[in-house]
Amino acid sequence: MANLIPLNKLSVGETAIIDRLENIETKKRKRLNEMGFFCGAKIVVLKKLRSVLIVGIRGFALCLDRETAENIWVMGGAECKK
Amino acid sequence: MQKIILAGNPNTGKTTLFNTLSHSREHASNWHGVTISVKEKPIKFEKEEYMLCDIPGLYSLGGYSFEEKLAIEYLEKNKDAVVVCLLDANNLRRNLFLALELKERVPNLLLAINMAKEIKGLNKEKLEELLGLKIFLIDARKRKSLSGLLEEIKNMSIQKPAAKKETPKEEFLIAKFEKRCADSFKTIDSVLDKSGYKTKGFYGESRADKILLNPVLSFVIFACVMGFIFFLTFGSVGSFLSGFVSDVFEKIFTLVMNWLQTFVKSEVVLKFIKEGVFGGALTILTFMPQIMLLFFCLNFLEDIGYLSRVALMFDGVFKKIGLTGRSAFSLIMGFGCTTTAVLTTRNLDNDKLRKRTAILLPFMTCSAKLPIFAVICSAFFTKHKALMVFIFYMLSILLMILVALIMKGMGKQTEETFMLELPKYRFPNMKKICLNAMGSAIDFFIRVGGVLLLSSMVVFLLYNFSFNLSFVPLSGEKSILEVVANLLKHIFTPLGFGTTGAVIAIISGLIAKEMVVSSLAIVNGVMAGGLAESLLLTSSPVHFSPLSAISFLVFILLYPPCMSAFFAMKREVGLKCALKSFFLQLSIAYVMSALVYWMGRLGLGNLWWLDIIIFLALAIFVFLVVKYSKRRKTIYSLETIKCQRCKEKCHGDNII
Repeated sequence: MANLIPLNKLSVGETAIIDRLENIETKKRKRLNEMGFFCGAKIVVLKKLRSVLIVGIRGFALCLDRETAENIWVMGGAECKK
Repeated sequence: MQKIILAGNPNTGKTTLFNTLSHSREHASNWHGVTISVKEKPIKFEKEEYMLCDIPGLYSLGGYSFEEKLAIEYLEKNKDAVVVCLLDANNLRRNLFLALELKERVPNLLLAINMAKEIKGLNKEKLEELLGLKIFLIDARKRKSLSGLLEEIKNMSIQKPAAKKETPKEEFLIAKFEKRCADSFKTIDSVLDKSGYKTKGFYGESRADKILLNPVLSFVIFACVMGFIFFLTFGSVGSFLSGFVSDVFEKIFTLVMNWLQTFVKSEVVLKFIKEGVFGGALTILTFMPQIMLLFFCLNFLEDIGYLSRVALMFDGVFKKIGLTGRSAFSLIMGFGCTTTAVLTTRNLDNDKLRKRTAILLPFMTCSAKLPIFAVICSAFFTKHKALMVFIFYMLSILLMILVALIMKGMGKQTEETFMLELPKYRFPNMKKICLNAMGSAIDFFIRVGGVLLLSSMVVFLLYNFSFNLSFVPLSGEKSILEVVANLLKHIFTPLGFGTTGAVIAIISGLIAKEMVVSSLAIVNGVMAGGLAESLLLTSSPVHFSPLSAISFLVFILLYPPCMSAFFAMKREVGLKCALKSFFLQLSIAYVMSALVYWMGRLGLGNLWWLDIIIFLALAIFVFLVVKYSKRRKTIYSLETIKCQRCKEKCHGDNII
């Protein structure tokens, strides 16, 4: 069983692979898909602010609110390196 | 005429390219979502005429926000147009997604990679071959690099659009959609890797953010930046420039008046030209330097990429009051012009959030109120003018927060996703900033100046002629405006400024805020330059005590915005919402102004302890209203998005 954690639980500088997006309204989920959030995409947390995360995905920095980040499940740490 | 449509992701330089090719001065900035409507302008290239069209930025052809839908609709309507898809050289891995979508739907498509100098090692020919599209490496700011692109458009044989294929419904299932996106991105990665495309780090990421987005330092820096802007605009520099412009034009107008007096003998005509025409013109001209300074500062912050960081900084705070960081852009624009700011709420794809932001916008003090503060503060608070204006601005922000909190408590809470692409910090392009500031100021001058001059003349006529159409200074009768204002002035007596002149100024301010100063000048029979002194004289028709001046300014600060802002609001969020905002502003302005006046009177009468009691009672009242407002929260749970097809928890994969 892979070590799945929500994106907002990743530490700054940590890289992970997106496993799935869930509990996100269809419209927003599609927008995220178009931004590069899909199963297997590589993501890194660049900065954590009070209500927002700055993540690096597909070569650009994107600010994402923590509520959405909570619903993006990623495979982090050792699992990701495998 | 052949149409050329500039499409692409937000903040890729579409408007900059549009401006360069058409010699326009459309607002372009280092911030996403600046273009909110379609702009068209004819251009000429080697004797051929084209219609150049700039459409709002879009991430895909899905169209989730209002301006994205507008752009897609425009593309659909103009299928035989040449579409130039603009790509940011630093961000090709994401930008190409839209290009691939366009390739499937648009028959005449060209790709233009903007800021191409910033990347090295890209094999353009290889990329063209792999994508099957013609690519141009350009710099949108330089016309020279664009001739190849225009040459290609000229020589292009325009393809007819193919019949629209119906996409099977299943293709829209989230799971399929996600797979399609993943496949598309894999293709992009493979194509870019083969073309030798490499970038360092993440686009938009910067070391400066360690300081500028620091939880504590960011707010200190922001306060310093805003303080500096206020000092520059209202302090020594702004005042000096305003005074200089006022002196120059006053001398010019005096010379013209002296010349006119040699052959115009009618006192009515001379008074009309002096007070109605020149008085109105001088009002707007005097404050142009300060307005230009304000626009310059806002454009500077926007251009270097700081404003998007401000949105980010305030997201946490804004969420607490029922808004998001994305509302920050509209609210900051509100400091310039409420009408423009209302139009920028189109960027917000959540309807409730858009309405909430639009209702709160009039609380942001627009630049048109600036002359009123400048005149009254220079009359009553000469030494602390800048500080007083700053306090008034802060008061309006505080009230905005309070109203937002109450609205949040009373309304249905919505889950708005904050998703913002961070723009890169850039060195300020002074030419562009100056042109933008100049363009905004000229636009302001044309839009407001015409109305102001006309309204100024109307106010003059209404103030100088009676219902019998006799000239008041000669007949001694009461003027039309005096009769109306006399009826209304009793409403304003509890606020400390129940005089005919003040009421006339308030009524004219509903047409355009700039009218307030010119109306006061007309009523006092002086030019804008001498208005401040006349307000101190008890012999003047309009005069204030320091306390009634504060009360008057509080009312002006908070009462409804001008007619154009009202109609913009009606168009964007509907009549009901616009009326709600109008009456909300009016009641808040009245109550706040009365409070300030009466608390001030109590304080001056050594009853300061009563002030404290009133203040505490109000604080408790507001706290209770905010705390016990009805709260309904919408949460997108598995239950609410459970798909109808499988009736099971499928993480929404089967939702269309």
